[in-house]
Amino acid sequence: MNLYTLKALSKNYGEGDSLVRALRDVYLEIPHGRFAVVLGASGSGKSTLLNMLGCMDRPTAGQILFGDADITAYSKREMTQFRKTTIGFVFQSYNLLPDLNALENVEFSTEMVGLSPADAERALVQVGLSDRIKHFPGQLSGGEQQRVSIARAIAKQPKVLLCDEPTGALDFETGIMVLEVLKQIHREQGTSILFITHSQEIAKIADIVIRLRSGEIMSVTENERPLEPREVEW
Amino acid sequence: MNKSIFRLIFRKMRHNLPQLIGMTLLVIVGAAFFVTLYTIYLSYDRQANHLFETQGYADVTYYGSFDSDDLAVVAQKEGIRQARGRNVRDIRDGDITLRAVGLTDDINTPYLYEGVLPEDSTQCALLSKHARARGIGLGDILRLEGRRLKVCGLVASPEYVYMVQNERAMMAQPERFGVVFVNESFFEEGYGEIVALGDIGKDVAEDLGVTIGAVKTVMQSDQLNKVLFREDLKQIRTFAYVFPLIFALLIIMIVYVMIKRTISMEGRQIGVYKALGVTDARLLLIYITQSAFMAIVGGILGCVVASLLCDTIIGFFSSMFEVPGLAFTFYPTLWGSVILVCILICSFTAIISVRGVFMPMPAELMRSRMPSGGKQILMERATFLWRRISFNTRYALKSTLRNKGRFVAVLLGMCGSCALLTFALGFFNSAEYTQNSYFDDFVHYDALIELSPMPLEMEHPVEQHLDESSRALVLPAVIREKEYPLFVVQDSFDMLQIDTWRTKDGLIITEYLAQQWKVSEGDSLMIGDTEVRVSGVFKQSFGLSLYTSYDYASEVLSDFKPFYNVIFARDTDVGELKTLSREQGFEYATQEDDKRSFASVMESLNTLIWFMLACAVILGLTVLYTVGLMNLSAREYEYMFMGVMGYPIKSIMSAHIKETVMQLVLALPAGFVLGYGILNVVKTAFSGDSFVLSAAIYPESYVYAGIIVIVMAGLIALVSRFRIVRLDIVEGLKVRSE
Ligand SMILES: Nc1ncnc2c1ncn2[C@@H]1O[C@H](COP(=O)(O)OP(=O)(O)O)[C@@H](O)[C@H]1O
Ligand SMILES: [Mg+2]
Repeated sequence: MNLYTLKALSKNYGEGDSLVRALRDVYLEIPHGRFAVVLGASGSGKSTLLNMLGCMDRPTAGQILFGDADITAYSKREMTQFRKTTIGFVFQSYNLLPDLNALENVEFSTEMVGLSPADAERALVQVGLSDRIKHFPGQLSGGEQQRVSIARAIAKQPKVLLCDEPTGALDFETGIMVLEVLKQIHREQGTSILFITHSQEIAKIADIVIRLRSGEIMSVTENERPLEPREVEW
Repeated sequence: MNKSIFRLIFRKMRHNLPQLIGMTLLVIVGAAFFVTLYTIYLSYDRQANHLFETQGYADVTYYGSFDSDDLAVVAQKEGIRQARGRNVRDIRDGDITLRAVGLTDDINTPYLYEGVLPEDSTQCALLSKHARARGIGLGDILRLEGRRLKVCGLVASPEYVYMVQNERAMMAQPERFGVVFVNESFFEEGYGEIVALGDIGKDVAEDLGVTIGAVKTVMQSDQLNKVLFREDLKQIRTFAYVFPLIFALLIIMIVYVMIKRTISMEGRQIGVYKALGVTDARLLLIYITQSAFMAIVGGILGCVVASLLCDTIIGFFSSMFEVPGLAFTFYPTLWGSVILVCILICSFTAIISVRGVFMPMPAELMRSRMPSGGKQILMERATFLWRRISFNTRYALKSTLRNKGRFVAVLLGMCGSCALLTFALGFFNSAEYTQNSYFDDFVHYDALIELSPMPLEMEHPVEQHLDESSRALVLPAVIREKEYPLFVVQDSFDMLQIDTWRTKDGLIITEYLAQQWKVSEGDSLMIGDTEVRVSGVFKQSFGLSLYTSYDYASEVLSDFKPFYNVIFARDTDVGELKTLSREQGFEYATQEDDKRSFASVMESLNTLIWFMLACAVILGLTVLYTVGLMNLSAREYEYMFMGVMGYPIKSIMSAHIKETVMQLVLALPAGFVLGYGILNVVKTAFSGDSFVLSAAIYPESYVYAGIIVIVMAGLIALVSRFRIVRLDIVEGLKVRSE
């Protein structure tokens, strides 16, 4: 069974003259346990797609099956529950809660699913931030904030990790470090990862590359030999 | 379990501390004001009724001249439990009037503060208020009509909760009027009053009065002392509600604006909560806890402040009324309901303002939004006008209109504060206006002399000593079950500003009574069983009475005899009157006495007014400060940016000031109107059968109210300037993550 099965998925924004068809009749299957990349130019509908997959928004038409559960038919409450337990998000603009320090930010999420503060700390160790756990977001660099954000997403051990251009705002070195963390999590925990990027280079580290243009799937290709983050350059 | 969420809430609160403190202060002031006055209201009601009950406040009192047979008739009447005869006599010595009251067992007994009740005719008990005012203590000697009486007790009396000397001096000054309780042996045989306890209807009591030949029958509920008590209770309660209502409205509005603003600023964060799977209930918790916390702390502190303040305020009130045991009392239900109402108001407002974030999906909330305000404002379309004003003014205009919520909040804060100031100052004015219009414009006599009835054709010896005088007859007129004084005056009567000629063919009545009875000129009225015509309506502020002529009175009233029992005197030597009154045995009251008694009523209200003025200022400052803070924290980024671009602080401030001026221009007139409106509503609570307050606000009060609000706005602007100067540009730009 696939992780996600998308059937005739469409999403429109606005109406009348300002109608934007961000996704058009998308059919797609994403298998379990993969490191998949959604590749496309800016405005091609990548974030829109990711939002649909993470129950962050409702599609205009079509269906998304998660396993064999139709998440597009979920009630608001079920969607919230789904986001809480099943999905881990990493955003381009870190989106940490500014009033909480690194550890507390991670705890905020683990606590909700009934995990202990130790789990939160472990996640921070995993992303290599064990010495900064008491720092507030304002006191961390971009790369560090993004790693906290990854820790927050993985600490609750989600089935799927959805990352919306997590390296978009980072310099090369830091970007590589973040990618390595993601790769490592994929390898060690077998978490399915869906990763958005507009960079052809970064796409090379994925098992599957989904190309998107103007809201339509151009191609889905398997990567014979995914590169390690160290090997790519952009 | 919910540790994180509370940690988050706590941090957010710490972040918003200045604002929260400001809001809490508002809640405190509102709650304290209400609890103070309501506690006094409850406690006064309870203690006074307790006094009336334990001291046997007479249910009915007969005035006249009685003997023991009359007393027996009353005592045997069905419904009457007990009856006693007593004598009461006013003894005037110089400026001071002492009222000697015969002691009666079980009925109208004085409440002992100190000492004992008199046992023989050499002792007396003195009303403690008078004793205090004149520094008289236990053991001191009082001289009454040549007799020496030793003060053996200091007391309060159910009949003298208010220092009612007579209808005109309803609140006599304690230094000039006192009550001395003496043994009945002080007086001669017979009784001047019969006091009785029992369940007896007014009609029955009055019939009984006729049987025993009483001149006047007064039920407890009609005793001036009791009437004043009832009216004061009503007024205290009205005041308790008026102010906190305005506070509540402002709190609602500010909480609304505050949360709305926070939410629009934290939209992205809310998206993150949702993305992480935070439920709506939790989300609500985050925003509601702050205002609920503020309500609880404010409510509790308000009650505590009230408990500290209460006795002081009661002390101020004690120049008006005094009952034993009136002190701060802890009413758990009152506190509970006040705190609950605070919580409900704040939480409800919070829910209303948070409501908007439940619907949108997280994806929507997390999309970075363009800041609002890119829109053109109406002025901009009038291009030629727009170009003529400076960039600075344009900026001020635009930023003013950009956030309507905040704009309205400042506006309402200024407006509310201005309204309260106008109202409080206007209340002063109204009292003064009422006094002036009565004493300067309405009253044209200097003294009113009361006599036993004399036929109109006979001259009273005192008249030889009066320069100008006019005779009149005062009759009790019962209209709609209440008694009013009806003055029958001569055709040439000019001692009051009334249309005497109108009395020829009817009664003239005051505007207030006309409104109460819904009658106007030409209608008819029933006095007892007699139908009379209303021939005129006039304005009078107190001592509400009716006037008619001897001709008309003899025409319509059955067995009317042309007598007179009062003489109005003008241009008279008051000193001479004093000696004459002693020689000829009559009572008199001067206009000065009336004025003083009115002034002392108003003086006691001053306390309340000062209390209100203080509240108005606190309210204004808090609202302006709170909203100012909001404004500032929302603009910080913008100001910093302007700073970076080299826009000088002077210009920022001048834009800020222009904005404030715009708000003042809108808020002040509205505040004046609102203040006048409140005054007119409250005025009715201060009007009763004996007193009508005319609403009047002098121009200078508007000016003062306006100036105070402007000064407050200026102060806040200064504080803002201080904060803008301190803004750290670099730090600010970096921290700003949203
Ligand atoms: N909330 C929205 N309202 C209107 N248009 C939107 C909204 N979200 C996205 N769009 C539009 O949909 C298209 C796809 O957007 P998005 O999925 O964010 O692209 P990508 O992430 O690939 O850059 C874009 O043209 C964008 O302008
Ligand atoms: Mg995107």
